[in-house]
Amino acid sequence: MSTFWPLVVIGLFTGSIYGLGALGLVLTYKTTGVFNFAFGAVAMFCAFVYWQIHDTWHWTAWISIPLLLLVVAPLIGYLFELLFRPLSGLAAEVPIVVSLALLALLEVGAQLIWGGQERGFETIIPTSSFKFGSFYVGWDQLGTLIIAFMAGGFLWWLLRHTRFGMSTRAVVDNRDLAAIIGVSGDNVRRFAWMVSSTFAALLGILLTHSQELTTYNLVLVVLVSFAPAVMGRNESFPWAFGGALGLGVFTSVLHRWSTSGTVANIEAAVPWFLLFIFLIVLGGRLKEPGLSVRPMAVATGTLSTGDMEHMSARPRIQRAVALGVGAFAVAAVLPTVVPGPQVSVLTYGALWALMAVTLVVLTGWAGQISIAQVSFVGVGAFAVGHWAGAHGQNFVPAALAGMAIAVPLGLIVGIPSLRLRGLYLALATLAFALIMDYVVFNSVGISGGLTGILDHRPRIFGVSFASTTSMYELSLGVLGVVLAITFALRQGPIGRRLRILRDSPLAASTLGVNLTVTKLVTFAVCGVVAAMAGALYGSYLQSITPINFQFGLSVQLLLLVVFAGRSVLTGAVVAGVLAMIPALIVSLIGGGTIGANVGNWITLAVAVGVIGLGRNPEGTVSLSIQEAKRTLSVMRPRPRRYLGLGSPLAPERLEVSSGG
Amino acid sequence: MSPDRGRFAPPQPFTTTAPPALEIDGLYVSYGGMRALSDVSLQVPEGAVVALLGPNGAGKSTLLRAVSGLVRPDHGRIRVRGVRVDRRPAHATARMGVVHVPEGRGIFPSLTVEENLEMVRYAVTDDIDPVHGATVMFPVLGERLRQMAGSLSGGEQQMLSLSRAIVSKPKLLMVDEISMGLAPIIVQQLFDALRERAQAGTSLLLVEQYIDAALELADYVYVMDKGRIVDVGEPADVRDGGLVSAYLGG
Amino acid sequence: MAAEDSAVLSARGISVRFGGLHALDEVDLEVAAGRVTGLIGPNGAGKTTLFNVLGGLLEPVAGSVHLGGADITTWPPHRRGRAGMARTFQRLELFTGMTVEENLTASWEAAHPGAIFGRGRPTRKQRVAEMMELLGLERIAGRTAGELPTGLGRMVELGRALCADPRVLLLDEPSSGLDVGETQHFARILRQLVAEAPHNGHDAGQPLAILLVEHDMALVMEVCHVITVLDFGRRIACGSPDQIQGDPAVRAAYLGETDVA
Repeated sequence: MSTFWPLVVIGLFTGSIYGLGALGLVLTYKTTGVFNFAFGAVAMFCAFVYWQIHDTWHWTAWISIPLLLLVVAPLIGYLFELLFRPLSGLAAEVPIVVSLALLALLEVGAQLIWGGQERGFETIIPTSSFKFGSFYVGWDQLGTLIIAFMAGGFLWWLLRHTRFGMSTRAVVDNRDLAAIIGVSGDNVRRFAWMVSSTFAALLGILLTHSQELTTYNLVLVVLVSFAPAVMGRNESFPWAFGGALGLGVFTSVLHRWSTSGTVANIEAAVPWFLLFIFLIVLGGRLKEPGLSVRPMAVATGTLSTGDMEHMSARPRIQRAVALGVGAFAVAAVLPTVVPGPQVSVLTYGALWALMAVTLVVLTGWAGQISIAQVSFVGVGAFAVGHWAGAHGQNFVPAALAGMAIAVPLGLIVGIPSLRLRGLYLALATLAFALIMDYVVFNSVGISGGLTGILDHRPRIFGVSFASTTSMYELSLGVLGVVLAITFALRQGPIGRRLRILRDSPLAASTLGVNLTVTKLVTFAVCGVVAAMAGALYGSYLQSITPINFQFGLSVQLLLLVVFAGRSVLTGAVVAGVLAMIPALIVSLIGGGTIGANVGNWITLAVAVGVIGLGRNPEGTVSLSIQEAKRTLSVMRPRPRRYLGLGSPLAPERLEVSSGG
Repeated sequence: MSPDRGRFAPPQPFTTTAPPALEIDGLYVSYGGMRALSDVSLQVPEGAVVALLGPNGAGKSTLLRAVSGLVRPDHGRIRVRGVRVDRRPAHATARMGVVHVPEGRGIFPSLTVEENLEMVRYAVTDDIDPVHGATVMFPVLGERLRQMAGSLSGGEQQMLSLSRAIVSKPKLLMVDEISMGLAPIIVQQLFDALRERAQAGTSLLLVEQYIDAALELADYVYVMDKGRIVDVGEPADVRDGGLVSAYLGG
Repeated sequence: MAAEDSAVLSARGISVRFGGLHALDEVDLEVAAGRVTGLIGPNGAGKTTLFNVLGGLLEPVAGSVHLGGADITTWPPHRRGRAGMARTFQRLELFTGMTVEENLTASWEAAHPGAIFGRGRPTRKQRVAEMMELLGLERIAGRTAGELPTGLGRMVELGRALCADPRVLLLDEPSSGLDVGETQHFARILRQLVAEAPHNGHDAGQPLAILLVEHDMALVMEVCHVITVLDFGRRIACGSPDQIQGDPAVRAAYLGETDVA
């Protein structure tokens, strides 16, 4: 057992770091109902700010650490509170999407400021070690453990023995009651955000003081604290912290059997396996504050009978079909006008639009949020890479095999949706995406590791699609067919079945809809189509690595779709157009410093856009339709007539007897 | 015991010069898209006890929640001692001395009894000793100070909720169904505390299912049904008038 | 009254416990075809609990629920829906993002096997059109359901439930949020439904059975043929509206006349 105990001790050190993160997450969730997906990004951002002022500007640690923990981090927390305050009481998906957008914003912002390379930080605590019993312990490890416990103790003292703490606990217990005895919930929430953000900063410093990390990897490492936070049911501080310690020890002990290869990947995925299984087994019992609140147009009592809004379905469909066919025709002739490199960019856009369609159906229509859609794309791409021949022969069977693999995977990611919606479904799909990243895509046998593998341009029934133009035509054709089928389905029984699932699963089930079957089939079908998109996407890229399908891209796809319009197929097309803008700019102006960062700037803009939309989770496309309608109705005012059964607004006054 | 009649003019029309403790005028409230209150007007004269009765879903609790600022009215005005409160956040209204003992258990279950009481000091005013006041009112609470409030019996929880409201020296005290689910002996104790408060001159708005107990304590009674005031008057008149039909149809 | 024979939906000896609390204690209930059965009781009497047991959202610890002869006690909600049970909700559960017509259409499709693949389209169109005409919804057929005021929303929910061609219809506090005029309109329609029964779903020809959970006593007394009263999880009375209004136990339960001596 000589190797066992050192592993336990090391596990406690890493676990205590995750414990800090779990405490910060639980604190904001309990007080505000927001699960902060951007927590890791805050930690990363603060760590890089620290690197800037301490390692680059050479300010002493005595100034830079207090500056970071007492000024920078609380300021970020303060801004978060401002952003999330107007979102309280809205559907659970709104804060999820906004915090994912903040994650993207901070991540991309950090890359724009500090670049994407690894940074090593000077250590604060000496890294020398001392002998503890029969093995060596680093002073930095011990220091980390002590700091984490002190921070936990500080939080405990704050909540137990200060006025702010008592008010916080009161607001958590019963928000309304706290308000009616005079406690301002806003102050409490602001305080919670600031403390949570400070915890994130501390976590960032502790994680980076001795290792080299990129912005993205640092965020991924901090994400691990999601697992203990959720497994502490998002409400218990001791359970969250203890769970983090347990998780640290467990993964550390697993380390004993491996240092590399598949088992090492599994080790990184352990928290996510645990979280996924936890959510499936116990998720139904988790409380989610925002869940009962559905976005609802508040009935104002009056109702106009404008025949414009009354327009029957047929002309609308005809108009949409005409527009769609027109757009498709324009897209089809584009290669004759546009030079080669841009055609390649257009292909990229068409394939992203194809991925976006699956997310529109899944999230926009059926109401099942997913942060794992790009994982299915990866399945299709790697299947083609392995099974299609070097000249693209066997492309169709290989793609079909990838799509077949997507079926069970879709069913697996669909299982949590049977009991979960909103936040916990999002977390389950996140766990699924990270498991796919670590276990499948990082496995050298499947993905070829960092160098990746080659995909080849397809040959279908003897027709080769090796040229840029033919690849574009194939992608556009598939996109067109999928869009046409999806559009037709939307008008019919299947489209209605999906949309009632989103609007009221309760009513749907009492009317006779089997929710289990409907949800699983939806996840599976959307996964299959995403895998088909992946087969094309892989052979379009020709060389694929795990980085092309990592979790961050699923977030990006979701943000694009939400920004563009998640409930309409136009939104998917707009998402594809947005996705190709960076590449288009690069191909027009060439590479260089601007070109290299264009993608980041676009992501930044989309993230800001999603945050700005906030209250309008239907995205820009439907927003502009609404705006257009409003503008039109202002231009042509018409008498408003009440249509109700009686008039709630101008009531006949009841006789009120004044007693005697 | 009978309330001291003749101290006050009837609530409508209102004749004294001091602004009433609570004055609601043409209030409309919607809840999740549904209209919960329609054109509700009501007055609690300074120092009076007003009972608000009516069947389930009549809108009584919504009315109290609107006064304390937990729901925003669509239309209408709410004034407390002449000051508009219908656009104020709940905690600001509370600091004006409007204290609401909500339906259900108005306690913080994971705070101790002592902390529950101390909250008054933090939230409203520092110059009182809420623990002392509450334990004088309900001695049983004195034995439970270190216990989590969630572990108290239902009756003790209501005692805690009511005493916390009373020690904060409210200008207007609104009590929502405090007797719900409690044994008559406990209800008796709670009503004794309320009666004492009323005699000390606190304005009281009372929502209650024990109609007899409420009628005995009240100076004036409003009867609500389907979000409207359907009857108003002195207890004896209302008893024989709109009350029964509101509850039993007919 | 041959209530036993004509009962479409019946619950026998239903008991439900939450923790140590007896939410329902051996409650019996029968809902007969061609009648409106009222279920009333003071706050916390167990009406909603019983309603959820009937609808399949809650499983009782004892007792059984029968629908047209079949024991459905353990059936999930969607299976009950297919067997001819439809319901409305106290807090509207409309398909808010869809038009009124789509709400009704989706309901018909949900209740009829094979409809999702397009089977029975002419019948569907005819049924939806009939229902919209009956409830006066044609004018708002193209409107988004989420924008409607509560009064119309309740009508759409009723229409949606009826489009599933139910043999028994459960109404959960349909008058809440309605004003006096709207409630009266609703009452008229309910009476019309049980009397005329334009019904072509399960066991065609038999009129609809309606269970009404309601706190608006005026509505209950006006439309119900039979009323069951619950108090503290027990059935304390069952009879015609006149009998119920005169029942001393009911008066005591509602007016608290015997309490706080």
